[in-house]
Parts: sequence; C-alpha cells; structure tokens
Amino acid sequence: SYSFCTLLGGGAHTHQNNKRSMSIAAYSGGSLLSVCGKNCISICSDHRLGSQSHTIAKGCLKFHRVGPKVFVGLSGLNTDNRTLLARIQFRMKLFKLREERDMPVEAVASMVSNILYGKRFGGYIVYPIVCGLKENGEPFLTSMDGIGAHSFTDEFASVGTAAEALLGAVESLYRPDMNPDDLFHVTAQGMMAALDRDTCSGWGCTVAIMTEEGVTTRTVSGRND
Amino acid sequence: MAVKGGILLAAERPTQHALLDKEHEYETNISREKIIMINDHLAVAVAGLTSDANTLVDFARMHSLRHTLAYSEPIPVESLVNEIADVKQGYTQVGSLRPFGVSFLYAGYDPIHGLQLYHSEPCGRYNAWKAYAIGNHADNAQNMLKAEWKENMTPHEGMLLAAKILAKCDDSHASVEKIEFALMGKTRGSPPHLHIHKEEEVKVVVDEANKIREDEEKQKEKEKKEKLGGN
Repeated sequence: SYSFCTLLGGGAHTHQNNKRSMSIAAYSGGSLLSVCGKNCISICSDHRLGSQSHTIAKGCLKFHRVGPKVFVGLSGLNTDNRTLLARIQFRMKLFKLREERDMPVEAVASMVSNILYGKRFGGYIVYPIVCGLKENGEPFLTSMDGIGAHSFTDEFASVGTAAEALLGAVESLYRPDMNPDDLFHVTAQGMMAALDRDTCSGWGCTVAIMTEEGVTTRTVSGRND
Repeated sequence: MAVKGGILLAAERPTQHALLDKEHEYETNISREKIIMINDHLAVAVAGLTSDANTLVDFARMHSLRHTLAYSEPIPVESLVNEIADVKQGYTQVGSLRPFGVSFLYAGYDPIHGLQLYHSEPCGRYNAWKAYAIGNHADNAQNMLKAEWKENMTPHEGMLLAAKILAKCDDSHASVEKIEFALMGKTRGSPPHLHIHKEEEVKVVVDEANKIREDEEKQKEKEKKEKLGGN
C-alpha cells in the first residue's frame, strides 16, 4: 500500500490507502430520504461528509431549496454535487428571467435528468432526488440514477449510501395521505433507523417539511459516529 | 437618475395600438416593455430597436449568470456594462454586420461601488452618470435633468421630475398607459431589489405630476394677466 497527502480545510493529513477501496459513489457518504404526504412533502438528509472512512464534516446538508416550492437533494460525490447544484441554480435563474415565472418542480426534475444524461459517458457521480409541490398543491417526488433515469413515485424515495436501509425502514412506517406532523415523524424515524445501519452516513439528520404555507426545518440528533 | 437609496429608471413607451392584447406584465416584477431585469441586482431601460435589445438582454443575463457560476458573486455592474459595450463595438468593426440599434441605461448595485447608473450606445461607448436620458428627445431631457436634478432626491421626487420631463419632451400630459417606473433600491442590511411600479403606483405619480403642471400653468396665466393688467 502507499500513502499520499490530501489538503483538507487548511491542514495536511497523510491518508493510508484502504486495502479494500470504496466505490466512488460512496466516497463522500451521505443519504437522502423523501416522503409524500397529503399536500405536503418531506425531505431529509444526514449530516456526514467523509473521505472514505475519514469523516471530514458533520454539518453537511445535502438538500437545497432551489425554488419556492422545489427541493433538490444531491447524494453521491460531494464535488459533483456542488458543481451540479451550481448548474441547476444557473438554469433555474435563467428560466425565471426568460419565462417570468418560477420553474415548476416537474420542469426541474426533467432539467436535472437532461443535464445528467448530457454527460452520459463519464459524468456526474450524483444521485439526485427532486421533490416539491406541484401547481395544484399535490406533492411531487422523483429520484434518479447517475445518468438521469428518473422514476416518479407518490410514496417515498431514498438515495445515497443508506438507500436500501432507508427503503426498508420507511416501508413499514409509511401510510398514504399523512399530515405534516405524522410525515415528520415517519421521515425522521425512518432516517434515524437507517443511519445506524450505514457507516458512511450519520451524525444526525435534518428534516424539512414543505406545505402550501412554507417550509419547516427540524434537526434530529443521533449517534455521532 | 440616482435618488436617495436607489437608482430610478423611467421610460415612456410609444402610444399603444388599440388592439394590442394586454400582457400579464405585472406578475413577477421582471420586465415591462422598456424596463427589463438582467439579474437581481441589475436592470436596464431600453431605447431603440426592441429585437436588437432582446438579443443583448439575453446575452447580458447569460453573462451575469456565468459570472455567478464561476465566482459565486453577483457580477459587478461595470463589468457587465463593459462586456455589453464590447459586444456592441465588435459589431461595428468585425464582419459584415450592422451595429445594434440600441442604447441602454443600466441601473445596478454591487458591493464594490454601491449604486451605479451607466449608459451604453450603439457604438460601444459607455459612461457612468448621476442622471441621464436616452432615446427620443434625449437632448431636451438631458438639458432639463442638468437644470433640475439634485443630489439625494427621494424616489417620489425623482418620479415626479421624470414624469414632468417625459411629458414636456413629448409635448403632452403624462399618461399612465405610456409611462413605466422602476427603482433599483438598496437599503442597509437587505439585498438589492428591483421594484417595477405597478399601474396604481404609476397613476399616483402621474396624477400628481399632471396636477403640478396644471397649477404651474395657471400660475403663469395669472402672472401674464397681472402683467398686462398692470400695463
């Protein structure tokens, strides 16, 4: 094995290369969960940012409110997440200036899918969730793979290193047409259960619930490892 | 013109055709016929060929967004004005192209120089101004501005002055259908904000401006009579 220096936040650390290398999709760690309710939607992300086994930050939120009624959650390689987010914000701002209206959530999902497919061969290592409220107030949710294949759902979706664990946990908790309070509990409990099953995600989670009135954000503490 | 706490843009459109369908112009505060938002902190007023202007406005929007993508900051006003001016100049020197038949007034804010007003011409020349006029009767308007613009007028005073100048240059009374106002405002502690005035707000100013003009004319008539009467 060999070691190499990586510069992280001002300091230099020597990093011993793992004997069993992690998949690039799991390099930064992190997971996202989104659940539909009755005219409301939740999105939840963990707080860990890592460099394989080394945790670099414990306050890294992975979802972003890019529009009044749109959330974009990005899991995967952190650097690609940031780049893609900047591109999404560029395109949304341009849309708003040209069309003189906010970009509806379905359009955002379609746009993100197209941006990802634009780099079909050698592209973004990002697994996004696009969610929000449609014009008529109903929740909209879709998750995608790294080349933009999206699948719409009216229940729940998860991406990231703890994706399978999240699906399992929420499957048993979920029921249709939840109000915002129940939605919060289902989302938070599902996430907390799954985080303990995944080494690459953790350090608590943040849940945001979007309703017609606005967005409420709550932070949940958990095992900090 | 620069007013206290912002840059005021005022524009007069040509008389609307009776059959023109009224667009839903006021919904998002982004553009009307002659005043257009480039970005949150930058807006332009247009004089000249609308189609040429639309191309340049789209270019300006793309350019300012590309700057934000690269540098994570809103584009400094002069930087954008310079870029547009360079594009305009290019069309006067390179290729068998005709120049853009557009002049712009740019109103913007950046943390470096604060609130700024610029104008650019079809030849690619640009300057920074305290107050400026472009378009039809620009010379007349500029002379009136020179005589009557003062530092630190309130936005309302600025709008009254603009309405007065626009009306006088057109030799008519200011009318709500033809006048547009926008204020690129900046107050301490909040981000710059473009407010394109709605019809009700324009009406208030236009009515007041027309009333002031009527009062002035009555006063002049009175003085004339007194003078004649005295003789």
